[in-house]
Amino acid sequence: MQTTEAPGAAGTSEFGDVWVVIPVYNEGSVIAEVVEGLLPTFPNVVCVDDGSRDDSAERIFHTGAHLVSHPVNLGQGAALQTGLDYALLRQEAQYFVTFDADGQHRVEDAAELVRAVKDGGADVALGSRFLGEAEEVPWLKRALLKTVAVVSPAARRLRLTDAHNGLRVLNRAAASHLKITMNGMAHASEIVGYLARSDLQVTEVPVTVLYTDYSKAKGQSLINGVNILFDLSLRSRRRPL
Amino acid sequence: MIIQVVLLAVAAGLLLLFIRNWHSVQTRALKRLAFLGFIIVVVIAVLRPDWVNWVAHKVGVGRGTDLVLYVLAIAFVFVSVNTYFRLKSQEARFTELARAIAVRDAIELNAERFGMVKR
Repeated sequence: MQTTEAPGAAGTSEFGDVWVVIPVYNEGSVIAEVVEGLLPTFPNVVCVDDGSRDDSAERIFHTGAHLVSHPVNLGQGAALQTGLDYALLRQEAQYFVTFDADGQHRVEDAAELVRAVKDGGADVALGSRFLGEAEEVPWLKRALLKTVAVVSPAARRLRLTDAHNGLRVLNRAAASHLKITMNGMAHASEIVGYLARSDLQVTEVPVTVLYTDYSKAKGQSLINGVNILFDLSLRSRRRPL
Repeated sequence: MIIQVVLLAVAAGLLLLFIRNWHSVQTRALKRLAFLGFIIVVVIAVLRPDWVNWVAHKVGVGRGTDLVLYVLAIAFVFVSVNTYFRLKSQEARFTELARAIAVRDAIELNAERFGMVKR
């Protein structure tokens, strides 16, 4: 089925060697809009439908994004890893963007992060809500995220101001060595831990997060932080699989 | 009380040991030996309840039944931790399998959608 311009033809664009990975779980009402917003700038988008029960997969199917479907729901971390695996199969892919499905990230911020890696000499660029003007972040969430950034040894080592931002860019070397084992929401801390242990150059770039009513309603609840801490505390002492 | 020291030491020791090298061969062997020992103790406790009482007094517990309860509590923690890690590694394998299927199907599907040559 030929709906939009074939992504293969877009190698000429500035971001032809960039792949955007979007984990999708029950985002049918917004996902098509998010993808259409990305495609003019980033011709290569892969959406990983994580066993959604709504029409997310169908919505993605009718866009120009690549669609990967988990046969069952596995979690956001697992979906991210699947998307990266898929994108890494493309020989031309050199940069990998992780992007949230709920429309809270801005395309121009993603482009800024890619430039930070492409031209700025970093291996990895992470979005930070707190570097620039951040008046949009709800205060409770702000306090929690700030605390995590200060308490987490990995985040401290990398001097991060925001340890849990879904907008990231990794170059091929960084992406191919990343193995997310935390299927659930703890993957964000896992990624930061991986970066801290590696000798990759990590930089933070200010981004604006759009806290729409939709993304606020969908966002992870603060109480889920307890689950994340539990998973992480038991993980670090285990041998890697 | 001796019993408190013993119980806490055993609990902490087990937890550390098993979290640190959960998958090693030695740990697996130790787990089996521990299970064997457990069975033997159970048999003895059933045949000679007075022995359990005697041990209980020695370590500072009032009655044999209390000692059995304490040991059971430790065994329960041990089983819980064991099950948790078992499930975790199960989940990891399950994820690998699901991912392999998803990527394989996606390569085919997207090649058709975008009219590209299959790799």
